[in-house]
Amino acid sequence: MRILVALDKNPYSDYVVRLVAELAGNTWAHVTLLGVETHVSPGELLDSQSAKTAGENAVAAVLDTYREAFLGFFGETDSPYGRHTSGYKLIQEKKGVVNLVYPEQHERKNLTVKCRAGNASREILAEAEQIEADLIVIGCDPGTDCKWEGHADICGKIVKNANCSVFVVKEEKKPRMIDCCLDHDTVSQASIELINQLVTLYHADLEIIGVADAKGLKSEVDRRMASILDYYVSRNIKAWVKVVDGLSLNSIIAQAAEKNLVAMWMGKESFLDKIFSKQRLGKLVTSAESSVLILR
Amino acid sequence: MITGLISINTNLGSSIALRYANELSNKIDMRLYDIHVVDAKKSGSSPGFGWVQKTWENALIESKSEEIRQFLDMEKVELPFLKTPKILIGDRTEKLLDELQTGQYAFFLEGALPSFNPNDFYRLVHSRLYRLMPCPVMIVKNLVPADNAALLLDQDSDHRDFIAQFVKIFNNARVKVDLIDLKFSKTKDLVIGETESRDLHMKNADDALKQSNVTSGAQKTIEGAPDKIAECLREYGLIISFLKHKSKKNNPMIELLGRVPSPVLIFWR
Repeated sequence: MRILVALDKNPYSDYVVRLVAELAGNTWAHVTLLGVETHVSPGELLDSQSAKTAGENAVAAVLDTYREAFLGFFGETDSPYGRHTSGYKLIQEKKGVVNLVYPEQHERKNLTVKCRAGNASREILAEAEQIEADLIVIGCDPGTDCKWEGHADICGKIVKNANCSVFVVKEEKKPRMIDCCLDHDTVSQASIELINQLVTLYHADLEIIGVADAKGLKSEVDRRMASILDYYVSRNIKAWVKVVDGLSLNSIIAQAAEKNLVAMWMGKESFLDKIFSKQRLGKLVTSAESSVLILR
Repeated sequence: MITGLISINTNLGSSIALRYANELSNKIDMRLYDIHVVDAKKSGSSPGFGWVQKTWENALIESKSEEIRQFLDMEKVELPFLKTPKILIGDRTEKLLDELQTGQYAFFLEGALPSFNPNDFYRLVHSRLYRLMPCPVMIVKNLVPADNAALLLDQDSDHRDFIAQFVKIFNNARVKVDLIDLKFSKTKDLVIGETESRDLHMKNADDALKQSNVTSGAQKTIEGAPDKIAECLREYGLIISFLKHKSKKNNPMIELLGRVPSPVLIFWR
């Protein structure tokens, strides 16, 4: 599993780092911590981040503290990501992309720290594509503004355009239930396992919600729900099932998002894709008052 | 030993119902008979009449029997008598009513996935099948451990008949039964308390359970709106209640039973 964590200098990113560290502790995923410098041209990125010219607020310096916080979650001896080290070198991967390179420790799993310059959503999506991420985790302001690094539409754009799962984390609150909506039968094993990890992480119950159309629940959705239920029950995860009429899905999701974490499996054949056109999907994520997980 | 009838289809609802029944059979001395009704209308029209129709129906029954057998094999239930499902062809409601009336079953059990819309539950309990059902019905909505149950009472009704029916099924059952005295109101938060010993109807119910070797647990009063109470009852593996066949849509008990995600056992009045 490859997780891309998009970080900025706001307090919610601290929580995102802790959350991803816990997730990584269970999954041993390869993790990339990414910051985006939006006010610097790609050609000036390397210079702008060097310790001589930039202060503690440079994105690279902030990412370094996030790396320390991430590693702090693991013990010194059993960390698959290596140990705390002070000092990094800035190495330009290409124009507008700089890596923070730490002394080699022969880690079992990669913890990469990177900084990009340019448009935030575009750079995050480009990085996700480059590393073939399975999941993008991004924090944002709680409430309906959903600002990331001061911009209101970043998370919405990422959710709309990413090819992988996206977890928009809005708050530190632990959900008591994870509501997973499903309307098609092509569900990736990675996404099922991700839900498994989140259920464990949050000590939450799980609700598998089948989305029905005018003719009721499709037999392939019914079968897929059965197999997902089997998967979780065999792992002693308390899983509930429920059916929702597609037409009332919007309001149900809004209600559920108040206390629960809403996750939606969006596939190419998904009717959810039609209900939530790309514009509406972005709007749903930005307007939801709590975290939202889009599974692909 | 009591006997129940379980309606089987090859879907998630039936899968959940089967597995729940399997677990329940370890706690209640019961035998279940399974039935599947092939809806002839959905299977297309018969290519002819007389022996042609009969042959067609037999072929349909044979193919459904195989389908159900495979489904039961996949579910790996441990109840051997479930391996020989009774397959009937015709109108599901009428066939099930016939079977329930002639079979003298102690209860009927089926799976029904819960929905967000309580009206779906209202439609179910007001269907012809449920309105004319001669025995209690267990509606399995989710696969949960059947270790504890909540027996719902209210102060306005005489529960003697209900309790008498209940203990017939739960006699010597290895399920802990909490007695819940319900009061529906529009209060924002739930008010949960211990019942006082002077509450005669609770005491009578508790005595009846003890006489039948039912493991009685806590006695509580819960006051609040149906949706809030339903959430609170999620912790139970079975919700047991009585309901009038002619209960209206705005009956809070209908809303409560519709919203609660756990399996429900309804005794009719």
